[in-house]
Amino acid sequence: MREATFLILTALADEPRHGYGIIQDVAGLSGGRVNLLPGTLYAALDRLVVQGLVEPSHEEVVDGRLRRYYRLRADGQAELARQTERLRQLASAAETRLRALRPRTA
Amino acid sequence: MHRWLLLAYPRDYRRTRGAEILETVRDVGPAHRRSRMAANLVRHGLRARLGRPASRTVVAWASVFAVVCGLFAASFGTWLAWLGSRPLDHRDLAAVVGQLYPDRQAGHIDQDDPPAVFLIYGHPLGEDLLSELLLGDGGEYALAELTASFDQTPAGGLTDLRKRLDAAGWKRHEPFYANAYDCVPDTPQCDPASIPSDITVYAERGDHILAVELTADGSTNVTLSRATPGTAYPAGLLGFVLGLAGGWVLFGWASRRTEGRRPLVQGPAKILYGVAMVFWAAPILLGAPLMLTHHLDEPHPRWHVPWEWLGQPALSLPFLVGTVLLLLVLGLAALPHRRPAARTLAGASDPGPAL
Repeated sequence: MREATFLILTALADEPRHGYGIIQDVAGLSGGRVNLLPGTLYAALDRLVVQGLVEPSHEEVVDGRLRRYYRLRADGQAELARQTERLRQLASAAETRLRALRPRTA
Repeated sequence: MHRWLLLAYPRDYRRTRGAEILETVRDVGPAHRRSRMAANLVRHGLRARLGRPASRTVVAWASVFAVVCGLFAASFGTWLAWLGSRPLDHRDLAAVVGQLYPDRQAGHIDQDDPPAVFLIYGHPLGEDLLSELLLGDGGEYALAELTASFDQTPAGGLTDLRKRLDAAGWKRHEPFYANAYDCVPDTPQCDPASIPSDITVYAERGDHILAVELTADGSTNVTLSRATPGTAYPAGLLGFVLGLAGGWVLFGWASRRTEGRRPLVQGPAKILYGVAMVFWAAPILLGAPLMLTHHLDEPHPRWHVPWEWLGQPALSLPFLVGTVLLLLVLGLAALPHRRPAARTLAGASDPGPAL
């Protein structure tokens, strides 16, 4: 799974968000490193909707502006958990090796 | 401006998502360069035209189709430009022969103008010759030429020919030597160094291409033809761009129309498309390398016409079969069907204004 997709799923994990809300949250989660453009975001949302990981939640019109919210589906939560575990294992393996390296480089 | 860029997206998509995307673009706008945002919208809009957002291969299939369409359209564009070129005039040939060999009487010289820019077996392509074109003789469809010949090479040979071409204002290329015959392999008595050569000198002047062949058997052949018309290049480029865009849009339309349909529609559509692409692309993959080898082996004052690089019309029958199969795919895609309402946006009550 690409990093941007992982971050979008993470952004939707706690509450439904609209497009701009997802972009802001992804930027925050990544420390400003991943700045999604609208075309990229909606292409990813289309893919995630077709894959059954995300679904539209509801719409709001605020000051005459359309806000369509998206939320994680059960399959999306399961996939996010699986990817998180995978990344945790990888990070843990890397950490172990780095720890073993430190005394020798010191 | 972004509203215009949304035209890269298909109409149905704009209707359901256009307002939403525009709002997000306005929110995000100040944080990004406009050109970057625009390129991003166009790129993903063109991708959205293909439908099947989860597919990893649809972009590759669409690209193949669009490029092949672009190449064929470029060929068609240059063909039209060629049709508009100045007809050959037999008096020009007589004048050239008179300049090069003023003291010789040609054994043969064409006395009539060619009836068309392109000929097959000396005739314009018509219904009566269509079957010849389709059934294996498409390679005979070629540019019209005017020819003259001398039974004996005039005295002075190559040296005089060069001088006279220079004096008459022709821009000539270096002579091209080709063995009159080849040795049969494993026959030591045949010495390749002793094989006589046919010598061909190509020259250009204005919109004429001249080829003078001094054969090993002592005869001389003069061939006059047209240079590539200047309009062929922009016509080919325009054709390529239009074909590329048209191919992408057409593929996208068929892809979206068949997306999510019953296997009875999807299966045949994919198979027909795959077979059609073999019929369309195989002649290109066969023809282009052969043509490139040929082009590098001999001097060419004029490039071969682009459709010959695509294996056409020598392999026009496979092209025709491929076209029929693609029309069947389009027919399958056009079959009426009930589409699930806003399938990718289940639950969205108001699709928003059409853009």
